[in-house]
This record gives sequence, C-alpha cells and structure tokens, in this order.
Amino acid sequence: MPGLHLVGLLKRFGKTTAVNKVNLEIEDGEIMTLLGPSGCGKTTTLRCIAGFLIPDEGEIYLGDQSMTDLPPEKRGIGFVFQNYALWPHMTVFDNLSFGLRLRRVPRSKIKSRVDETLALVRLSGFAERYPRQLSGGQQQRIALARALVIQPRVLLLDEPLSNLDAQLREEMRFEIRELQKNLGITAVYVTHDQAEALVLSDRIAVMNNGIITQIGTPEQIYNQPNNRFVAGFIGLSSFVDGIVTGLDTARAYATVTTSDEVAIRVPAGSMALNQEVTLAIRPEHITLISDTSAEVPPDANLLEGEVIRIAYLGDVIDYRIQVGGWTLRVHTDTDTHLRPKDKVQLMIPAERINLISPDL
Amino acid sequence: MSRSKILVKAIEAVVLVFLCFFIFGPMLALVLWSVAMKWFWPHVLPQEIGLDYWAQALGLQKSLAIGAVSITDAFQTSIVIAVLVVVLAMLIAVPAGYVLAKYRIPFRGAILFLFLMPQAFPQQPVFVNLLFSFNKIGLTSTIHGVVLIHLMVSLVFAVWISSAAFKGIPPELEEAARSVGASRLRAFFQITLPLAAPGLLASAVFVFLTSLDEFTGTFFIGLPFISTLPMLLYSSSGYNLQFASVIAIVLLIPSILFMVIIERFLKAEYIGGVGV
Repeated sequence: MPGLHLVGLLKRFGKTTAVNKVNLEIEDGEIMTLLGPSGCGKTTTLRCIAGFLIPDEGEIYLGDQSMTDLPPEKRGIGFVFQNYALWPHMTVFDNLSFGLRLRRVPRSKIKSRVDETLALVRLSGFAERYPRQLSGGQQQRIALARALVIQPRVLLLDEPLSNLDAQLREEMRFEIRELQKNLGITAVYVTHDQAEALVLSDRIAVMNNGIITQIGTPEQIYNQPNNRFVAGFIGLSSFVDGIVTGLDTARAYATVTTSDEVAIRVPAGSMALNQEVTLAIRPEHITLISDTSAEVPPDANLLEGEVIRIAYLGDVIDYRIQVGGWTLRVHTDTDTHLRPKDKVQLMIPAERINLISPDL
Repeated sequence: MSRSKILVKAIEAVVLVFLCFFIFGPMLALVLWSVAMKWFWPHVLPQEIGLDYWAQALGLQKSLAIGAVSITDAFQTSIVIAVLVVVLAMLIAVPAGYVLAKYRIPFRGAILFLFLMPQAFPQQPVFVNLLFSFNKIGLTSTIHGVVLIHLMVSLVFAVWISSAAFKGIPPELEEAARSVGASRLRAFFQITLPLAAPGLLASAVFVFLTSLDEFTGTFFIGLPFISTLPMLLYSSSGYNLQFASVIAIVLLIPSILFMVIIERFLKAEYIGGVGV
C-alpha cells in the first residue's frame, strides 16, 4: 500500500486559516496521529484528506497519484467518525455491504467479506442487528468494520474513541493499533488525547494554530519536545527562561543562567554564547533530596527550593517548588511527606533538561 | 392501593372524561346533525333520523324535497387539487429544504423569509390583488389558478418542515456513504432521503390538509367554476345544518386517515428529530 503525502495544504474558513501550509509524509503501513487541542486544524486536515473539504492550496498524494481533485467516493479511503455515523435505517449487514454493493462485488462474496470483517472486530453474529441495538463500543467497532470492509488504501479516524467511557477507550486503543498493524494499512488518526496518541501511534504530528509544530515518534515527542507548546501539551513541563553564559564543548555541556542568577547545566546542543533559551523540565525527572549525603551524579544540577503547594494525585504527589523567582513542578512517590515552606534540595540530571526555542 | 394512588386515578378519570367530551362531543353533534331529518327545540335528540342527506350528498338520490346537492364533483375537485398541490409543493420543498438545511448559501434568511411573505399580510388583500393579476393572465376560475393559490399558502410550511427534517440528519451519515464509494446523488437517495422520509411525509400531509381546507383563496380565485368542498360547506352552513354536517364529516375523513398514517409511520423519535 502506498504512503500518503500532503504538500503545502492550506484551508481557510472565512478569514481564519484552519490549516496553514501543512507538509506531511505518512509512510506505507504507518499509523500517524495528528494531535492537538480543539481548533488546531487536525480534523480539517483529515477532512481534506478524505475529500469532504477541498483545500484552498496544496496537494494530496497517495503514492504517485494526486487525490486533490478526486471526490471522496473515488479516493479509496475508509473513514471512522467520532459519532460512529452508522446508518440507523440499515442493519449491521447492510451498513457493511453498502460499499461492497457499490463496488459490484458478487453477492456470495459480499456475505463472506462481511462475515470476515465482523470477525475481525469480534462482532460475529451481530449482522442482523440495527445500530440502535448496539452499545457505544459495539457501534464504534461496526463503524471501523464498515470502513475496513471496502479494503481502503488509507484508513482515516476522527477521534473515534472520544464518545466511549475511559475503560473501553483504553482497550480500544490497543485493538485499533493491533488491527492496523495486522492489516498493514496506512492510517491517520486524529485525537486531542495525548495518552491515546502515545499508545497507538508510530509517529505523532503535534498541531497548533493550523501548523505542525513537531513530528516524531511518541518517545521523541515526549522526551525531546522542541517547542514550548509540545512540551506543555504532551505531559507536564516546567519552563525556565535563561541566557547561555558558558559552553563546555569538551564535555558537551552549556551553562544557562536565569535572570535571578541561578546557573543550570544543560546539554549543549547547538547553542551559542549569550543566546536566549527556554528550558523544559518534566516533573518526574526531578528528584527531591532531603538527605545531603545522598549520592549525586557528577553531571546533575543541585538547586535549593521551597515547597509552596502540594497536590495528592493518588499515584504521585505533585509539589510546586519555588526556586529563585520561578517554580518547578516535581512528582515524587507518595512516601515523601513535605509540608509547605519546607526547604528542599532538587536534583536534575543535565541530560534530562530539554532546550526549546523561546519564540515558539 | 394507597389513598393518594386512588386520588390520582380519580383525577385521571375525570380528565379523560373531559377530554373525550371536548374531542368527541362536537364530532358526535356533527354525526347527529347529518342524520337528523327532524330536530326541533327543545328536544335533546332528533325526533326523526334518516340517511337522506347522506344519500343526496353522495349522489345516490335526487329529491327536490331535501336541501342537499351531490358533493361528488366538489369532492373530486378538492382531491385533484390537493394531490396536485402536494406533488408540486414537495417538488419544490424537498430540494429547497435540503439546500437550506445543508449548505451555507448566501441570503439564506432572505429566502426563508420570501416563502413566509404571503403569510405575512392579511389574506384578503393579497387574494384580491391576485384576483386582478390572475384575471389578466386567465388563471381565475381554473384548476391551475387554485393550485397556485394553495401552493402559495402551504409552501412556507412545506419548506420549513422539510428543512427541519433534513437538518435533523447528521451530515456524517452522508459523508460516510461518500467515503465507501457512493456518489453525491446516491448518498442522498439511499441515506438522507429515507431518513428524512418521516419528516417529509409529515410535510406532505400538512400540505394536503391545508389544501383540502383552504377557503379564502379558492373563494376569490376559484369561484364560480371551481368549487371545492369548503365552498359547498360555506354556502350551506347557517341555514342547512344537516348538509353542512355531511360535508364537514367528509372533510374530516382524510384528516383522520392521515392521523392513522402518521401514527403508523412517524415514531416519536423521528418527530423529536424534526424539531431542529
């Protein structure tokens, strides 16, 4: 199956630009997630790929073939909607066979294809039911089956799990990924749920304000966010602004000094002296040290701080700790028992600090 | 059974009796009048009953002693006009309602308002004006003329109800059909239209009944050559209650038939979907 390429895709609604010159290459057999807050342009991008919307500029290629001017019915796509969009006046069998009948698949074959696909989504024996007789999870599986039964070249999913309850949602993540991998189908998945994106994607494209701000594997997106939006949208991050005051090229470290004269050692990357940078630090990468004799790795930063707020989250305790003129969020296990105004020492390994450009 | 339950049951019974009285009371009076050969004050029930007015109205008997004429011609005219109006109204209302519901077309409000215009003025002046213009193009006292008048009166409701019917159908259903390979037309005819059918049927029934009952427009444009049932009813009401009752009952029959159809095909869930 061919990959999907978006080239300079642009879509305006009135005066707002919903999708602003998006370039994206989705490889053959890959599941790519478009992740972002509502209104970021992810659904608009997906609807352009499906042909429900006509982009104002740009091209969409499936392999070498341009799909930009094809109507939706000629694109060979399968689309799964957030609200399932099953046809309420048709049985499950008719919902699935509709596309096959349009393709003039012989009657005997339709029956076997529908049965196979229903088995694939583990709903064999539901063929004669009407959609209203199914639960939400079953309806969404039928919607998935309807999209797959026509053997589409690309599978598009628009927040397919957001109407389901939390537990079912978590199960379905794995199910969708497994199905996609088994079929080897190229898929584009739209969601605003970061956990969903991290679990089921090969790669994630994080969108904001109509542009893709970062593309990468789930690990890359989480561990090396390259801008403030990604660092803040996926997982939690504390941000610290500073200026590069020293470069230790031999050991590939740089020193960043904040406006209140706190020096923090960070990986050098491609920084220049006197450059303004923003540091993003994950709460789980900071360790609280109450015992000064604890072993501290040579590359780690040691900072003094004061607890200002405590939130018990069940699995972790979320501390806000004032360091100089800024705060850091720290997650610790639930064994620590600090109180507001307690002085603490923080340890942050240098390589766990992400540098992001402050202008994004 | 507890005391409060008995009280609730009693109240329900009383309400039901009153409802029956208000709904069936007037109808019963119509039925009584239609068979009353002799009914003078202060008698509570007719002194003499018979089917002569019915026989006369249905053209089975021609007696000069009974003050009733055959209504079969007027009935036929009424039905022909109503059917024509329904067909034309739906031919306009289905596409118009669909487009108004699904697309953000320019001047949407203005177009909806345009359909409302004939209703926005007192009816008589509108019809008197139309009488002059219809006269010029030879439409007065013709079936076409009356059909046009009925169309004008009922189109606003036809378009509005159709539009609501289409609006109640999520656009994703049509998009889903497109995505599995259906053309725009096929998606409309196989997905959207069947789902909108109950609402469209309601719209058609409404147009049919409106046309069947329409009086003012038919009076100005249709008479003297086009006479519908309401015309006959008007000319006989007041002095000939028996004949008027016969016509009134005949006019009620289609309404009751349609109530049955609506009850049969319009599930409450569909009606809920229409009110968007």
